[in-house]
Amino acid sequence: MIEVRVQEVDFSIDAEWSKCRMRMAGEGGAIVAFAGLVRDRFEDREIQGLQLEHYPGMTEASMKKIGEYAVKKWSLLDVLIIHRVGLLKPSDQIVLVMVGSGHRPDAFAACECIMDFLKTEAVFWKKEQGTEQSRWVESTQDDRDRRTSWES
Amino acid sequence: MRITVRFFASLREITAIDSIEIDLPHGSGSGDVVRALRDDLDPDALAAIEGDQVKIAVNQVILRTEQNLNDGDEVAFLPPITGG
Repeated sequence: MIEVRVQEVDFSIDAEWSKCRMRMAGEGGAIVAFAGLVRDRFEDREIQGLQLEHYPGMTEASMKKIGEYAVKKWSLLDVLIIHRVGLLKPSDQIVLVMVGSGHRPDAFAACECIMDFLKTEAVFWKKEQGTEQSRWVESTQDDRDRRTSWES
Repeated sequence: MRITVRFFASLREITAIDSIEIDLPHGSGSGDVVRALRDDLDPDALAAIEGDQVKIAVNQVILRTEQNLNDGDEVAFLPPITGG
């Protein structure tokens, strides 16, 4: 019931949504999904693309661990985390978190928690391709604070 | 013993090394990897891989403390991660 995928190709929320519904059969009462997209600006810089890389094996394990944390913390029926790698363009989909549960509170909370953990715990690196230069993205204090807030 | 050393993201760029195999004496630890690479890396690259925020993974598990290595181990230098 925890599925993680790292892939270069895009994903279809519709297709994953249907599969999630099927897997939960009649038990599921809620699905919450979050999709992250590539923005075309960061602060005052124009972004032309985002290069994402990972450490095959270790990355999938880090994503699975995040899913397992959520399953222990909430009552969930289905967890799907898809993260893309390679060169992405503005408005492309980067990440999908989809959580199925019997009731909406657990699905909402788990989806947000998994996303916050992905920012600081999932083994990926992002490089922004700007018009004049490229730079490796660094995690922010806000990302770290949000991650820590789930431990209480 | 033979160790594979890998660098990711910004560390791969600054070292200009994706993956390299090095020979270390038996009984060597994770800290010996940097010492073995000193002659191959320029000062900026050395400083980068020894940065406070760099994590070292052995066989894909992040080290909390220095660890002895075994023949065939893969040691990876990971800059701060940014998923999501």
